[in-house]
Amino acid sequence: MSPKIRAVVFVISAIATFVVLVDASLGLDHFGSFTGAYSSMLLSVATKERHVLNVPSAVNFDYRGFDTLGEEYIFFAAVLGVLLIFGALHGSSTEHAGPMETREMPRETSAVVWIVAGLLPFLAAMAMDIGAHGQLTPGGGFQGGAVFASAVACIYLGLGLPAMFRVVREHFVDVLESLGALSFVGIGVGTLIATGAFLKNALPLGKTGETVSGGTIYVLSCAVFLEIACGLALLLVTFLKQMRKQGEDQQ
Amino acid sequence: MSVLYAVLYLAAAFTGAAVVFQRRPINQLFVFSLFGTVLTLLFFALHAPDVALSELAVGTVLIPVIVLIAIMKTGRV
Amino acid sequence: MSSALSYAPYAVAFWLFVVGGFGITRSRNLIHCVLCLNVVQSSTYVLLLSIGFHLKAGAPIYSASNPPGSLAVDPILHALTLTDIVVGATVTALLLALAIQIYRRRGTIDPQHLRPMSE
Repeated sequence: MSPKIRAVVFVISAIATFVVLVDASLGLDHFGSFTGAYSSMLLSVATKERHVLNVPSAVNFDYRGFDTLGEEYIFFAAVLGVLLIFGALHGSSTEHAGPMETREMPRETSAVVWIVAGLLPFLAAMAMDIGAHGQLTPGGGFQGGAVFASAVACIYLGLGLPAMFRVVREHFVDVLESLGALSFVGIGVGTLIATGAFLKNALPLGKTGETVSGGTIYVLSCAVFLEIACGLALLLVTFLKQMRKQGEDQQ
Repeated sequence: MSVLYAVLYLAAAFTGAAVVFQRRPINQLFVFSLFGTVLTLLFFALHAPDVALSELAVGTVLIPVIVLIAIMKTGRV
Repeated sequence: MSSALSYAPYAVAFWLFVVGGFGITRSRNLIHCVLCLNVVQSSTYVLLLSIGFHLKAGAPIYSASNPPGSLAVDPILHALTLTDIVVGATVTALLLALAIQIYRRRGTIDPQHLRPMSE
């Protein structure tokens, strides 16, 4: 079918979908007046039961920790998929062979280098702060890992390709990521052995508001931070290795 | 419902459509970054600071960098 | 009229969904296609957060000035959305890696020139 006919068919069905969806949404509450029973109950008991101040973090790592395990393994599988696609797993580790080719790109100006070099420690420290205080402030493993990965991206953006490969050692980051993924399941199995329930919050809960509180919520948040940060860094390095290969092909 | 929510929702709808109607990926990249920023503000106004943090780190920096690398690799700027 | 306005945020989410889908069907470049898919994903985040919102409530993060147990927006939807954003970014990276490989093998990145069994 030609593109024009395809577009017309899509627009007709899109309008129908939109109308059906809006009609379905009329059965919801008005915007700004949500009163769900599960959330009301959760908000009233979460701080008392788990000694955490960040309730979505408690939901992620304790009340619905099993769903987070699934999400984390989607992440792990996606990173693994990218590594497989680019053939980075089997010995094509030529990252130290051949010259680093940056011929295509203009040289970074010193302003960019100074700004990035100045911001980078701050970004990394802030990322670790967000990741480690998941039970107290808005944050947690996922956000901290994403911010840390943006710090790693800044290394490439500001300091260039050779600096990226020198800082992010691929095998080391790979091991750390697997360690993070394994420790999530390891903690679950540990609590299974200790108490008979997978991912039950079995560690001492501590006092609300302290850094080490929340039991397994704190530990799982750190494990997820490790995995997400290292996984995204690995992703970036794998993509960037393709850049270097293009440079070698053009020689 | 205050003006803030109206403005943010309309901005999200408009920049979302702008991302789609940009043909060249290199332009779409910057509009997508803007879309991520507008969504971050929207999520923050909806009292969801942790979701806003997530969207900021991902939609403003990470995805544009990976798309940039993909654009450079496929030769179609 | 005000009741129409109180359902408008959901309509914005559905608009983003439909517009993203339109972009996918009319796409001439796989990278453009992947970013439109990201717009569709963002529409689900907007919908989830709009549903859980309460005008007189605060954030579900308690502190000294927001004592535990006070009225807050729905924390479960926040938990769903924030993991989904990060994981969605990684799946986007996977799709872009596929696009790069397709370019290497076929020399084109135009979905309308890529037929499954053409070679």
